Amino acid sequence: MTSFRYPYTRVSRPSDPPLLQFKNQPLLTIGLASHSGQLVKILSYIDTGSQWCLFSNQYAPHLGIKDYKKTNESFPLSGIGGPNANFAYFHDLTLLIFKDTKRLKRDNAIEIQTKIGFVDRDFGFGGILGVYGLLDRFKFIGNIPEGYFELEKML
Amino acid sequence: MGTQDLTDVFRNYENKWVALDDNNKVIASAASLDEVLKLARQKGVIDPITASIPDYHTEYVL
Repeated sequence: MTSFRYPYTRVSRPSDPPLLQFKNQPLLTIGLASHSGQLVKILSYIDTGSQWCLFSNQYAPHLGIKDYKKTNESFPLSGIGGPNANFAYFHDLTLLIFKDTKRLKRDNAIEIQTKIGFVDRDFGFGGILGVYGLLDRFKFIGNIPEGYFELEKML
Repeated sequence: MGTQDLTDVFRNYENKWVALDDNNKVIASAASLDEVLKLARQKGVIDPITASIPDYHTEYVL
């Protein structure tokens, strides 16, 4: 199997209480592409607990989607914010997984035709990468002590 | 491979949208994605990395 290695993202605030002084976040820059070739690159948070790949609705117009709510596939989201805390609207797009962080070009990416959700309420990060389209195709292997994670292509 | 440190980005651009170059250097920041892309493109960067930087004290329990 082919695997790709990426660094965990470390953020620190030494003046904060001990539990908040350091964070190690599984952030990955991915691409979203429309069928007509529009492309955006998004620093996204890998969330193994999310069933879907979800993004701020601000990205939709940059992918040729005039009204992100205009779709037959939309679902309420539940999570830390409680039941039905948000709503996602799904569209057919191409997810680009760059093979490394040095060359973020389409010819250096694995392309996945999938459904991407745009949410009503932003959630801090611009995008969350979940199961459908990503983690059902790649094994996620975290190695926080050594500062990296890997995506191993399964399909 | 060790971690990449984005402390400066997360400290200085909390609750903003940023455009980054491929080395994660900030090109532009703004209150919206539209605005930050416009600023980056004015600087000649057509397809920057875009990011929404969350509040540091909001934790993601995922």
